[in-house]
Amino acid sequence: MNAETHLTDEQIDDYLIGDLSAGLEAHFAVCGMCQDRVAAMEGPIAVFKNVSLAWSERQSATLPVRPAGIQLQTARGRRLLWAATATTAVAISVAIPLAHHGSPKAPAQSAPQASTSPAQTYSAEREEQIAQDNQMLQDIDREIGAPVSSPSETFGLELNGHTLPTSRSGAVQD
Amino acid sequence: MQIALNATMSDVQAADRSSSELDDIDALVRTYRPRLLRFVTFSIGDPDLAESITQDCFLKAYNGRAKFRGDCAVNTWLTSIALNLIRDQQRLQKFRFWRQARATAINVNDAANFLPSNESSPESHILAREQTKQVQAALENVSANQRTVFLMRFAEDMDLSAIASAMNMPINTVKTHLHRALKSVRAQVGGAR
Repeated sequence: MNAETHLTDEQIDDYLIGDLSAGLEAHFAVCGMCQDRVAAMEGPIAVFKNVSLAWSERQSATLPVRPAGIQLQTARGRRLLWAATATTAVAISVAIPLAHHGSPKAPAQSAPQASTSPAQTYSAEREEQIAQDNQMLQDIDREIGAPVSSPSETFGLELNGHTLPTSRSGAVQD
Repeated sequence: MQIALNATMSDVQAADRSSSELDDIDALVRTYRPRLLRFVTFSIGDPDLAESITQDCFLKAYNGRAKFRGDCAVNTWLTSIALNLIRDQQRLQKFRFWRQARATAINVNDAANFLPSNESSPESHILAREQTKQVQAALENVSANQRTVFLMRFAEDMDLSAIASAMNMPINTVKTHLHRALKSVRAQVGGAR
């Protein structure tokens, strides 16, 4: 294409669309008339673009920030969170008195303190129980191990010239 | 074609957007709603219905944000959602849709009043109003598809392949629609000179 053969309207539109061939680009780069024709199309389109955006920005500013559905969804989520929190609170408030009521020992002492972890509380209770059990076993040992008059002693029995042992000695061992 | 971009628009096209951007609904709406509202409004010609569709579009985008793979700009993705909503609306109430659109058409004179202050001299204001009116008139005289691809290309700055993908049509068909829309614009602009 020489400088005197100008772009057709379709080729001008190709340029506007961004689809102009390299050969035509070269002509366009040096042809003032074709550049004016492109500018005559670009100008109104650019103005339309700016005006329409200015208008829609103003319109957009009058709308609520969040679409209604998202607001509802958030509110529903908030309600669910509140419901879950309330349920947990009720469950805890019911469970604590029940735990106290179910405890055979003094509740004030066995109730978990704020500074005591459940594991520590359980360990202390277990040690106390073990001590009680040991005490009970020792009492049994003591009773069993107490000297008792044997029948042979009481009644003077002898076996082959020997007196039978009078009592057992030694505590019961585990 | 070099057309000055608004700050909001340049932000939109600056970089790839991650799906995490979609988690902040307030920022998402703030950034993209003006452009999306423009696209919908000038696609259907009914500002009231356009507001409703635009809000629905953000709701749909927010609820479906996990599906966004980040292989296109967020604005392109939102525009595609809006396009589907427009088509749904047109299918559902085709006749009422266009009657209503004519009844509440966009007031171009009103739109021209919102030009940035540096373009608000009386002469530029009159010229802008006239040119906006010409382009809008040109868009009213083309088919819905021609209008949509024109807006995607010249208002949303989408490239041809993105338009073809959003419209679900071959690139050559997109070019044909653009040529027809530009012919209509030329007829309006040229006829007024």
